[in-house]
Amino acid sequence: MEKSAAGSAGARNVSMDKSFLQSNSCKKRCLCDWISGLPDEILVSILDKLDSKTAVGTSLLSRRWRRLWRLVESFHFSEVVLPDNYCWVRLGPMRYYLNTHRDHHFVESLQWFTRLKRETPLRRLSLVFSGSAECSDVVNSAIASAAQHGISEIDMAIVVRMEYEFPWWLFSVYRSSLLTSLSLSHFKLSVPLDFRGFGSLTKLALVQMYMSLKEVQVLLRCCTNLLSLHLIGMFDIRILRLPKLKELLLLMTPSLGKFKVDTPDLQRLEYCGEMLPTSTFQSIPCLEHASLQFTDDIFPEYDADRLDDISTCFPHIKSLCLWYEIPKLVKPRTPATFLNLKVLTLNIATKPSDDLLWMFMFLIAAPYLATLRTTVRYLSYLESHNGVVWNDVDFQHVSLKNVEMYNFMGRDNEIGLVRLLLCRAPNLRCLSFNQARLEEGGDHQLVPPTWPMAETFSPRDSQFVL
Amino acid sequence: MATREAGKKMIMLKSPDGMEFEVEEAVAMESQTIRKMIEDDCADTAILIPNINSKILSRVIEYCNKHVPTTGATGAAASDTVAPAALAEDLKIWDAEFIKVNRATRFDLIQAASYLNIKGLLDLTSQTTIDTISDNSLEEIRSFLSTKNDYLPEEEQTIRRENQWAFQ
Repeated sequence: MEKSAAGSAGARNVSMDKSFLQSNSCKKRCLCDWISGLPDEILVSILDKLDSKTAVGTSLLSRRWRRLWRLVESFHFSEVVLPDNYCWVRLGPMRYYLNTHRDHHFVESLQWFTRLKRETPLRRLSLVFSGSAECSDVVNSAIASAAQHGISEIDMAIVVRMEYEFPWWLFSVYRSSLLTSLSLSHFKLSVPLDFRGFGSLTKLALVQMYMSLKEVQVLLRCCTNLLSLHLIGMFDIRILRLPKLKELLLLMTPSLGKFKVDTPDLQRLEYCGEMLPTSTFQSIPCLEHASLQFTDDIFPEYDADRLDDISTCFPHIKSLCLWYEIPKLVKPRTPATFLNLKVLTLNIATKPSDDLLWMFMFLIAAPYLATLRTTVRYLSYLESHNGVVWNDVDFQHVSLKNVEMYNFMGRDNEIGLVRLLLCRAPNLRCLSFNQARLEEGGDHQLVPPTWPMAETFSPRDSQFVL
Repeated sequence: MATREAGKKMIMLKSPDGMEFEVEEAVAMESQTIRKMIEDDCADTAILIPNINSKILSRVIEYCNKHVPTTGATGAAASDTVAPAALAEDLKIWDAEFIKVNRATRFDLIQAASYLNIKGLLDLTSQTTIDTISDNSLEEIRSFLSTKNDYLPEEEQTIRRENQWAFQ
């Protein structure tokens, strides 16, 4: 850093280091190879996100790249050549897909990984493989080597033989102390009752694991420090008692008996499944955001009541994301029940011709709402409920400031809703229309429409992408 | 510089083409490079940001403005405070729009993010490069990145031998 006095004005300017100036003027001279001029850390952070084969492959680009891959901290190996941006949650049995898309150097690459002399600490290992006996041995050796090097994150998905069992024994008390994140999909994990190895875990994700009710409960009991728990397509969870948990994601996880969630610190909930009884959650005073998608839309006429149920479950919620189908009936007077709600995102499914004014029932229920986002999807197969008429009383919503409408096509029903909003929300400051769907912000990406048929992939991004 | 609003210190950023940007200190401190200068007390008046032109610098400031943690300074803002989770979703949508720029601008943004040390912006801008490397053959990557192969044929053979599995 160099300081220089800036003359008579008395102002002191600070100029940044000269080497940067020089490297940049060099760039201007030849306009070439801008990327090799970037510092190692940035190039390594790029390699970190690639699968290991590609990352090591970049050593052939030029001398600049020759040894860069040796600095990566994350390794990704897959026995299947997967489409771009595939969704990790959707991985599942895919025998035929594997036969046509097999990477025949998987075993070799893992043997290479196990022997590798590391110059930097190891952070993450992710593996997608068939689960065959031949592979299991090399995989376990690789995990053992990773455990010795203090690995902190492991992601694994099995795509053919689900009998594979996660080698929990490699994470006995002493060695496991650095493991903080574990994401497992489609195999077995059965820890013994006295196992205490996962006390360091803060994040656990289980996707359609072949585990019994007892195995899940025993596992969760030894994960005493969990902050984030994802249960996707798991069967029959009865009790979740996790005192430190902040984030809970329950997707397609039906409960066959009474279900109790005891998580006093929970801040964020994402749920997709059957409507939960209001007694499910013990006490969640810290909950700020919930995303809810209910799959049992057998009685759509009760939708207004359902809104009451949601507010009973989450009385202090500040931000809410809801999936709704157009109801048959809207109660003439929806009570104002969401007294803390500031942001509401609605994903509505309706027929193209149906009126949308009934959506005002959400505004009435949330008198202090400041931001409303809507995505209206038009499904022609839905039954038309044009009988739904919003009971247009002298209603004014004085808190609403921002409305963002996505998937906006300028249809009559949308224009009708906008017109009513302009009349009834006098403090509205910003109204924006977007033709795109609200995909980026939607947690529903995690809910596969064809779940659990994972044989075919949809190249969709998600937070789980390896 | 003078403090504009009570409790908010302003910092002047200058681009080499002579434009000046007055930003809140908290916004400027999204950049670890600038943060360090402020903390080391080298920046009581104006900071010259070399080789980041005003067009790119204004975009970087736009990014920092959006990503600076909101503190609810005024009463009205405080009552509008939303849950962090919802805010994160907001930002994702905003980021996706922000990065819809041409290749040259994106490269400039990577360099600016790298120099100013703004991690979020760097992750956002380098994603395209990640996609390019994972999707293309060596030759295609070289041409996209304008990298020249400076290996001798023998050296290339050695590298291929060392990590054979990765090149098959």
